[in-house]
Amino acid sequence: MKASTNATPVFRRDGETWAAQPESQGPFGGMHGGAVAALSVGEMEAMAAARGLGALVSANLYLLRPLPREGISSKVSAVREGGRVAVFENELWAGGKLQAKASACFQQPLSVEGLPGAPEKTVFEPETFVKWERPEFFKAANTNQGFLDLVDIRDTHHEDGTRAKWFRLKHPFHDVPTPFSNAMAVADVSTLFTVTDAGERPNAGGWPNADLALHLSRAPKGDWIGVAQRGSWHDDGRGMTESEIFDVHGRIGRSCQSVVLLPPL
Amino acid sequence: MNSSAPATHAAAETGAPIFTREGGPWLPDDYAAGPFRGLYGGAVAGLVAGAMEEHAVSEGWGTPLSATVLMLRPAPVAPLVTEITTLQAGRRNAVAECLLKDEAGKIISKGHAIFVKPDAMPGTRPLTAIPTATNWAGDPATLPLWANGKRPEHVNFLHILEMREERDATGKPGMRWSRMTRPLLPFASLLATLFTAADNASAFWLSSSGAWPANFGFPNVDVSVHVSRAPQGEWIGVTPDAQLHETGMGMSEGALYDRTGLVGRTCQTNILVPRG
Repeated sequence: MKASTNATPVFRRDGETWAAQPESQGPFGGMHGGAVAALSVGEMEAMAAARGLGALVSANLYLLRPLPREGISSKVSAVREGGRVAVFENELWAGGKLQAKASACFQQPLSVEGLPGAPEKTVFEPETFVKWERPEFFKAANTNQGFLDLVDIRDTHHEDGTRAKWFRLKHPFHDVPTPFSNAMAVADVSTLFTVTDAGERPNAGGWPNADLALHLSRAPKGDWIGVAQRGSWHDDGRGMTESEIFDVHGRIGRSCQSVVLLPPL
Repeated sequence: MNSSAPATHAAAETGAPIFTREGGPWLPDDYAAGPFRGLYGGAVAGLVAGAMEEHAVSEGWGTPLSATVLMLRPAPVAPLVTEITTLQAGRRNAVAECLLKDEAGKIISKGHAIFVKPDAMPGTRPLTAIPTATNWAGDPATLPLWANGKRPEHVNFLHILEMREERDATGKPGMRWSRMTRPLLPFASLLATLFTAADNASAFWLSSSGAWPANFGFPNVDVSVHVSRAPQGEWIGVTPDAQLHETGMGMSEGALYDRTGLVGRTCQTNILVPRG
């Protein structure tokens, strides 16, 4: 997934720290979880591409505290390096506190006869899908959804009946391509769409996700990423959201999130 | 500690845990081994996740929401040390990090887990339909045994993991149920229970699909489990799926069930490795 324009990247370095454009803002104060994923995992993705460490195949993000848009220090470190697999971590710090921590797994390719290669046939045409409109109940409660303004969002049902959202970035996150972390960023919105698709808010004051995991079986191709989400929540305030992830050629992976329901206001 | 001991290992008869600890390192017994070399992946993941859960209980952090374990190197059947640090402990959530090291201090595995204090939220319900794809209402103990990986000549983890196969309406393998016949750890652990079943998703899918890549192994580099509620009973079901590509990249996954329905999801990064 790449941004559809050559607009200014969302993230920029100011000396030793990162700063982010206002579109990175989330609804609850601090940076949106998707933007945190794009920053923390995207930095590792860009580093690995420059060093030839292979394809980014999976990543985990722990959202520990609200991340401000400026004054962010990142600490990238190798957990394992050498051989076909490399694992790196990235810690995002601000105000002297650890705000988020991500890990990423990279894999050098080889050739395995008999297994499918990268597909060429286009299965989905997201530009023909209708634009997603924010439901009225959602508009009233969320007037500062910066992150959602960063993406062109389409709404559709796949042939098997699955309801999915398709995303295309209007701005790149970084000044180099970061297709994996772009997909991870939009996957973070999955929990929100379990709410909007249901047409009602849960009996909760909020439903933040505490983490985000993404596994991909191949690199995304093209500008569009599809996300078909499902949420299961329980009356003790625990829940999870999981999503099938697509590009226009078919299914490429899955994301999972731990969701915590906050008491009603 | 590895051996080709007979399956009548004394610990197996007493129901003792696979990993024990007497104030120092964790000591795996012979049944923690995999069918090839080193510890079984599900045993490693269960130990790392279970150690974090034990820590969470001692800190009053509540119940697990998710955990991910990275398998960085083959784990020896030898004493192992877990080191746990707290990344965050708030009013509702807490996040732990765990390093698993050998006695020389080399990092074997690394895990993270999230815990949450339950809070009554009456009226909350799943907002989208939960899949009901199999007829799991039956007793898994009555289903046919699945015996892959049990090498009679070599005691291993699969000897203490009872696995049963449930077929779908078309007769194809659908759900794989499993339960431990001995506890993994000397304390009750939801995560250990889930990880010992979930780690087999790759093998379950490859065996049911018949898509074994010739001359390649398929170890998983990581395994994650997300859970929305605690499973009821000892049986954990996995409906496996996977996508493998000619580049040697791949992922496997599985919906996780108890006998009453969906409890969570596992995902894994696979790496195809030429044998020999």
